[in-house]
Amino acid sequence: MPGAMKKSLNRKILVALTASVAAVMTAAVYFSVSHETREMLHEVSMNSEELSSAIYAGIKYPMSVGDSGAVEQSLLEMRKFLGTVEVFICDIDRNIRFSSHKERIGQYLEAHIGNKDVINALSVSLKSGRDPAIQEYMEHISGRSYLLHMHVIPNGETCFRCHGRDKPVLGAVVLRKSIDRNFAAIADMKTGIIVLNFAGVIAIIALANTLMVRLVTRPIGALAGEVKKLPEYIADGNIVNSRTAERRDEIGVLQQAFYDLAVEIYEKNHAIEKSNNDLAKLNRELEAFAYSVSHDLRAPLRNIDGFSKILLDDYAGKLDDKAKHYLTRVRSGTERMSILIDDMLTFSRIGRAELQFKKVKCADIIRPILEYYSAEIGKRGVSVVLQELPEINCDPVLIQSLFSNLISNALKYSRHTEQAQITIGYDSDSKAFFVRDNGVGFDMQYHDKIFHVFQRLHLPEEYEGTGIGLAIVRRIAERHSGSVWAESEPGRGAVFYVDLPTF
Amino acid sequence: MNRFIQILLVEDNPDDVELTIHALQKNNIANPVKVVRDGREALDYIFYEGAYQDSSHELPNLILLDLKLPKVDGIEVLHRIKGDPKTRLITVVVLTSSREESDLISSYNLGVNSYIRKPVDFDQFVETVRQIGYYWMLLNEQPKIN
Repeated sequence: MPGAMKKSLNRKILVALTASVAAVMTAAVYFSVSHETREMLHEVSMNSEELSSAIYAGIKYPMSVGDSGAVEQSLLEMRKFLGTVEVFICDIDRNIRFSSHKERIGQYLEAHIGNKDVINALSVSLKSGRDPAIQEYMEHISGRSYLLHMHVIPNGETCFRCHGRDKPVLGAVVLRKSIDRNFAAIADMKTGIIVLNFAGVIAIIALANTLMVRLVTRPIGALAGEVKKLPEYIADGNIVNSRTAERRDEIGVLQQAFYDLAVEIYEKNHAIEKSNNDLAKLNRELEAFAYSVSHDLRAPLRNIDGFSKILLDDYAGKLDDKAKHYLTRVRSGTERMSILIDDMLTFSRIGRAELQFKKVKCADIIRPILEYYSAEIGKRGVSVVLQELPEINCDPVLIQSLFSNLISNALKYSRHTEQAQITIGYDSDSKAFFVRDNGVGFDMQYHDKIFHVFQRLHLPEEYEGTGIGLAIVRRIAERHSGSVWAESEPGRGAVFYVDLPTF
Repeated sequence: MNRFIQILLVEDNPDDVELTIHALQKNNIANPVKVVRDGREALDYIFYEGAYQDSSHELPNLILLDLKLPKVDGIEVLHRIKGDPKTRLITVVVLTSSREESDLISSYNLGVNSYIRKPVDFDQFVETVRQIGYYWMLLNEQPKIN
């Protein structure tokens, strides 16, 4: 899914980039706006202070001579120039004595200034005679913003005539100035900054996207296309053998590593193919060998047996008993070798036979075997129990051979048991079929040995056999993706388990 | 036994030749036995070719054929005999050591009359030869070949 991956990779990086750029930009906007606001307030307050000093200077003389009319007049005139600035001059009781707004004279400051902090700070200052620590305050009246500035009027030489020397202060000058225009200017500036930032962010992201597509996504897509061709490259190593990566960055390194890998796989594949062919050839040779063993080894055996038999039959009068005994030994030797050859061929045939799988009832496979051995079973009085068995998916011919080997072993090794018992069943715990006997058993230290070709635990005169039976059982089980194992104790019988695919 | 029935034994191994003849005698089969030692000679004898082109022998009624033969193998010999209208009525019994399924199947496909695997045990072999003689030469009715 290189397409989906490309989109996802691109999107992830872009989202991360947008988020970080936007965060930085927002912080920049915030700090610049708050800085501007502070600057503006500072400037306005400086203006207010100058204004306050100027007003005070303008009314100081008329006041010192007690000319209230002139004070009032000068304040009213001032209003024309100052526009939105309101001026309040109050006494120490915060009673408005002069104002740019004549109608307010005689009223208390509290009636016109809503900010309690201003009133409190002013009361303190009027008692102490010092300017308040904070001289500027903000006030919002019906959605409009104002800056308040206050300044106490100290009692001075020129004032003593009317006010006496006792009071340190005579009152205060309070200015209220609308700052809406300043805020509007800041808001405009803020909008400008945001728009610029936004445009900047978009430009950065567009650039990043272009770069990323050119430097990352597209080369990765191209590399993914190459990787998809891996089966082609593995099939013919010459395609990539001389190829080198065009790029010199990390993706180029990856591409080169991929080409090297493809060549390596091609070479390994080639080697495996060659060894497979060698093995197939070897296998064919082995088959030819088996055929030739079958034919060529049997022919001389047959002849040995034939001529020995003719000697025994036709020259009986000329042979003494010892000679006859030796000839009998020769014949039994040829018989053993004949069985051995047949077993070897069976064993090799099981290894290479093609399995014909069929769903069968296991009991249907086992009954004919018991039938085959019925004469021996009857004669010896062996008690045989065939328990309920599940159905299996198997090659019936091979599985019959497997059980036939196990059952004939059970019969053979229980030969000297007084009351021989053989049980054939299915153990649902270990999910395995089993054949149990109460015969001679074996020592578990030889467990692994008995399943190998030509491995025997008994002398031929004790128990006959070629030592191939259990190897055949193991090979059949393995060809059915199963396994075989046994449990035994000398003198106490043996159980052979085979796990086979059941239903 | 029908004394006029000719037996052709195609066998390269001299020991097997000797033992087969011994087994025939043991079973009192005294019919004339012609022995040829390879596939080429068998074909020459049957089709009056090569060394036998001027021979005036009668065709055998029973051929005991080994499969693994020098020069021309037994399957090829069988193929020629059963493929020719003049010879295909001859009874051919394959008598071989081969256990290969493929040999068995190709022999029957070519129309072999019997396929017998030579047992190692000589007693069994004698018994087998007895049964071949009994069945193919005594019980079985067949059209006249010559």
